[in-house]
Amino acid sequence: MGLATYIARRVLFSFFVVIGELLIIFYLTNIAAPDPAVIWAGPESTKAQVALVALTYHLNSPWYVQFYYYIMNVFTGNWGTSPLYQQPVISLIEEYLPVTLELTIIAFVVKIGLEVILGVVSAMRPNGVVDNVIKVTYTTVRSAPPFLVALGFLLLFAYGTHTFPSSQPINPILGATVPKFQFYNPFAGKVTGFWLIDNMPMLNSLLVGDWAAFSSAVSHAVLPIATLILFGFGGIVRLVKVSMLEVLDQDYVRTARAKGLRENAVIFRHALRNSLLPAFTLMGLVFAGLVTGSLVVETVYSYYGLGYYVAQSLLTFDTPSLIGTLILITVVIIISNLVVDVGYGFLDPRTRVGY
Amino acid sequence: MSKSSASVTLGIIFGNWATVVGVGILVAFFALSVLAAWPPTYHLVARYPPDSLNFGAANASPSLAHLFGTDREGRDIFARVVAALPIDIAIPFEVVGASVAIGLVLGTFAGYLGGWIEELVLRVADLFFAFPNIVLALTIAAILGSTEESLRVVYSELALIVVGWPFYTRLARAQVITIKQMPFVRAAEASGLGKFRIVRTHVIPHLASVIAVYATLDMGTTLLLYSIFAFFGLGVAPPTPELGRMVYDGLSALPGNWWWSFFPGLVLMILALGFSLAGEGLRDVFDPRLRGQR
Repeated sequence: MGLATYIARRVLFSFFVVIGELLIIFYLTNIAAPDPAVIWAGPESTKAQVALVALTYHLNSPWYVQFYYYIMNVFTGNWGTSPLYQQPVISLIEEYLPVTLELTIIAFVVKIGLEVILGVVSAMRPNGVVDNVIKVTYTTVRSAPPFLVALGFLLLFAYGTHTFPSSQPINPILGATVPKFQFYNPFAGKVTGFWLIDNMPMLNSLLVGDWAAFSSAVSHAVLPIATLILFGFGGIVRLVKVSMLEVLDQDYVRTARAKGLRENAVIFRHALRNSLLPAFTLMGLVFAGLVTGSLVVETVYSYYGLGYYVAQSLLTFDTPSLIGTLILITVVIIISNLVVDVGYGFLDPRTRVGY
Repeated sequence: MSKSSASVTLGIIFGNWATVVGVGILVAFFALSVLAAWPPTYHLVARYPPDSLNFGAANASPSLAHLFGTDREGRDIFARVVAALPIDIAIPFEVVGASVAIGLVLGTFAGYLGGWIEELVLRVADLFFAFPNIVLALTIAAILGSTEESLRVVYSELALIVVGWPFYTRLARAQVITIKQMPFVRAAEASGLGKFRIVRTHVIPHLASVIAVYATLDMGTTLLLYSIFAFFGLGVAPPTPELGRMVYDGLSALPGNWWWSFFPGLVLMILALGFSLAGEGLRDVFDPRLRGQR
């Protein structure tokens, strides 16, 4: 089986994943719920709004008619209107997604780099002082709920030393206005014309050359990124360490040492490449974890990205927004898993047999 | 277990200070939550009732009178943390217990019977693995719980079970396909025992230890995940205290009243650390291949 067949099969499976998820959600919202119209209109809605929603979503028709419109709407991009923001879900996603994508991608790259370095360092002297310090650190950090880390950073570096700006503390009684990016300068202009890039605060201000906006955007993002990095920290450290120890035992490493290579060259040029392979399989999980973490992190820092939007939808039971973002997050995670699996095939030719 | 192997086990558990710390944390918190859950002994651990308002002492910083300070309504945060412990400890047990039960039944029978049953169970588990499980669980809990506040905690637990069972199904099935080739299972088959009986009396006891290890590790993760549910208001209805919700409520008082969020979060972290250290200690006992690898 070739690579194309493999990818085609994975895409087909992903299609079933999305359908399966939609079925579960459809069952909960339209069939199991005592009053589906209230679910779709939101708990705060008036009688007239509920009646209007029942009409728009065809909630008075038989379930199979409802299901037809439900599926058709998902695939035609008609993801409903958020009762909280009074805007189409798809346009809200357009506004919020790039911000979070930028945040999670930076956190992802830094996190992987840091964890790999710590894993290599741990493997140099297993059970030595450095290894034990690293072990104790990540075991502790892993056990911290994300909001505790965020709170700690906020208290220390924003309210304490004022190194980084503290966004406004979140308001539990939510206003109905759409929060706009405070530090994002809409007059900075847009160069690329790509929706995704133009809406990433750091990247766009950098491309435009607006240094004030850029430094403001970066200083707002440092603490959220640091918190995301520490969320679920250590899985890759442990995996890299274990596989590094295995690789260092192998004949070709002994050969490299025997021919007189310096230790750094042995570790970084010969051993590291092979010991990274197992860690690569975890990448998809790490990215999924960051997307989850962004819900809490963006809430605590009032960082107005997709995570903040999902969190507000959870707090106000905004069903159309929740379902729209769920579908989006599923697709993003499926794509990242696909990239990881195909990439693994390129890195390790042995696994291509299974394609 | 013979005496010598029991002493080896105890040696592994207590020879490692990390495991001792983990078990110590869990024992201390269990004792605390039992005392707090039973009204006659409640006053032994906390001086104030968890929801007595006292506006005169509102926003008091941590002191000897109020160990963790007080919140906006003057409620003692230490008392509320202690009162929240029984709930926050019980929920991971319920969620992991139910996930293990479902996974054990499906996984063992899928692995033991094979054929189309195995294929079906595995494909469905694969499907659930591909979901972004936390976001899915949060969405399910929010959709179900939007109308009835009192049932939110039940729906949150159900949602966590929905995303929790596939892991144990795969784990049990992977164990069973090796166990079913072992001579003692073959012997049971040859002696004419029924399939159900073989699975119940011979296969399941054999994989119990592995499942117990992962369940303990999972308990800490579930505690933290559920705290996110409570943080977003999908937990027990107020005024019953819950650690995750207290952190969220306290955020509105920042930067002044930091202790309101901080101490409940810290307690969650210590408890999760206890589960993870104890779980890794258990793994060293039951899975000698991984000994010393953490």
